[in-house]
Amino acid sequence: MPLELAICSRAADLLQHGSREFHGYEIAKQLTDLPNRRLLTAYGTLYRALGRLEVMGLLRSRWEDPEIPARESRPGRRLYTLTVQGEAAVAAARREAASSMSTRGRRRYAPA
Amino acid sequence: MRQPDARATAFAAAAVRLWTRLYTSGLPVAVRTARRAEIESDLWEFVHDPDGDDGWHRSVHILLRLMRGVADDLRWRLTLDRMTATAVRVGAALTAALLVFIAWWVLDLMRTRVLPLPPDPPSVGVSPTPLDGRIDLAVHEDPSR
Repeated sequence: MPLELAICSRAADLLQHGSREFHGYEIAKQLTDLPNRRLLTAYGTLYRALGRLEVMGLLRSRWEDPEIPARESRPGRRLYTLTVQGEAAVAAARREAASSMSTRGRRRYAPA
Repeated sequence: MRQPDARATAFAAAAVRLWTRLYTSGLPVAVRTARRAEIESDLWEFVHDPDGDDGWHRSVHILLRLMRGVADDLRWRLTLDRMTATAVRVGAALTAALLVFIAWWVLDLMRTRVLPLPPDPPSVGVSPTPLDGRIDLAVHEDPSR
């Protein structure tokens, strides 16, 4: 599930930059950094993936305090947070990617 | 934003709202409301994003996001329907089991039972009756008749 992993990975990046919570549009924007992805992720694809991640326990969500959107005259945001399991899943995926990259590199440059 | 571009964006957003309304109809209120609110928030953020597309690109982008996600919207809906159907089946099975148990319990209560005889009264040391414990059930004729 590459999209789910990409969402968790971007959420982990946001967390590193001090943003603990993010909303759907924010993560969709983050995902446009991916190669071959100029358009924002489709509504159906994005929110289905976010829902699945929540069911899997990698994300959790809450609706923001209704006073904030009322004050800013905008619709309320559903805010997602990467859980501890989500962080662990990202770390594991990154470790795996790094090890497969190094294996590939060793194979390419290994003496015949 | 120019007037025609604003109209095109409003049209695209209305199409997204209409589609969301369509594929969430008939779902439990909490699920339906949450999905609609989330899409509404996304639309607002997109339209008010200073780094986002402008002009007619904006409305095309909204429509493309809508169309590319239709299959996932339908899959999401089908999954929810299946979950609801399973919940209904489990609920029906549990209710049926409960009704069978209650019926069995009521029938068991209504069944005629042979009650055990009461224990003999305690002896208090009274001398035996003249009939020696037997009841005279013989029919005696009235001599006055």
